[in-house]
Amino acid sequence: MASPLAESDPPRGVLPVEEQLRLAQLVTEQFPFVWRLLRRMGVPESDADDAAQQVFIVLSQRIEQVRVGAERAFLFSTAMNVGARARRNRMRKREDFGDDLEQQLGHDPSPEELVDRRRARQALDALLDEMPLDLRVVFVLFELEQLSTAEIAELVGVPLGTAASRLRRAREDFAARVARHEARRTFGGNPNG
Amino acid sequence: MVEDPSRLCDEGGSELMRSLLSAAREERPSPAAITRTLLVVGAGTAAATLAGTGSAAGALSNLGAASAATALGTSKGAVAASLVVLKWLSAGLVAGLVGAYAVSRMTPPAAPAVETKVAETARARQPVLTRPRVAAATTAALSAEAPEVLPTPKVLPSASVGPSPSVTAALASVPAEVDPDAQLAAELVLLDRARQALAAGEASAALRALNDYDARFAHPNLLPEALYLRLEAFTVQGNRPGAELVARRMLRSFPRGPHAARARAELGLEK
Repeated sequence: MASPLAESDPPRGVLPVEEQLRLAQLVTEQFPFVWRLLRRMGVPESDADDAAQQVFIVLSQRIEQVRVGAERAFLFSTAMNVGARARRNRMRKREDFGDDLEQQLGHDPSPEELVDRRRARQALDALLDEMPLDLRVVFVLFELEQLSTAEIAELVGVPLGTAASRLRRAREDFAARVARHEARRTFGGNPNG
Repeated sequence: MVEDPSRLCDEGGSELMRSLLSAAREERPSPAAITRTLLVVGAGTAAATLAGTGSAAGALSNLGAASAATALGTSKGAVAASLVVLKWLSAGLVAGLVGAYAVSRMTPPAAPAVETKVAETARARQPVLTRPRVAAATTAALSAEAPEVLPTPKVLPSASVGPSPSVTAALASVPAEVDPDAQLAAELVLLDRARQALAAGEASAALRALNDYDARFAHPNLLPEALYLRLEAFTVQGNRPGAELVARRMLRSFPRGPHAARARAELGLEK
């Protein structure tokens, strides 16, 4: 568990009231965005609350330096860093315990099982895990968070054309992976072999 | 100008794609996770104030930052979740105000003067709220998570609004078993009070708030946080047996909880 409060001492310092209000506004409005982003970036559900909390702790420590209107970009960058660390930890665990994506998927879920939203999310996360990170980020922001390409370009810090190009490649990549997954499910074969 | 394609979930995607993507879109954090984070970053009382001013956007516009909500690009899901949290807080606020009104109807004539004095004292102390303190090692680790280039700092206008002590007092006076929403809001305010007392080095005041918390809520939502604060209060007091007792309870009840590491450290079980 990675709750900074767990390692904290009695509080120090002060936050002015207007910053407290701003922080409260940001937590209530942006927590779901940060939480979902972390989940799709590979943070397990069991750790997502703590990871999202970490992101907002970082924000609370820097809030006076974060320009009004730039909060979401700050949260995005911080979440990506927290997510990267979580992925590294997960990779280490896989090495330790021999876990892999195929095992994570268990068996190929049937259409009936995919009605189960939880299993659907697990299957999606396994597919996203295999995507290159730069494509994965753009894909998640566009398809799941429903941001526009222009918003994604601003958030990720790339030109609009680059964002559009990444999105196109990401969708192609995802479609190919889903098709392989469907083929594997239908025929019971190995789509990679 | 780049025209965005349709989203796969809406059209163009296969049935399986839509199934996978829509399941992910629906996923939400629990409102309790948002409440805990408000508490951890020291914004619990401020959140209650936002709820009390009618809307978060209204509170921000009072700060001269009306454009912030738009600039944040809030998604529908985020708005829905924030409404849930604000609903909790608002429900607590309303219930608290009703409770306070009922109490005032039964209060002898001399009592309001005392209440006013208490409220004034509280108001005088209110503008400066504490932020969570994080141990040096943790601070360094967290700093590494922040983006390297920070957006341009901007000086905010001085506070024109603040958490009203009458609001927090009303919230804290919510009867324990009114309804789950009101209870959570009241829990948040009481724990925020304990945290602030602890920040001011007033461990006894923190413990009073925590005792009040224990007495009010038979089935608390924020018990891990309450236990953690109690552990810290005992530590500040130098009450080692008390701290160890609480640490054991934390590990027994929440062995994988957010504060388990702190409890293990207290008991000397940490590597």
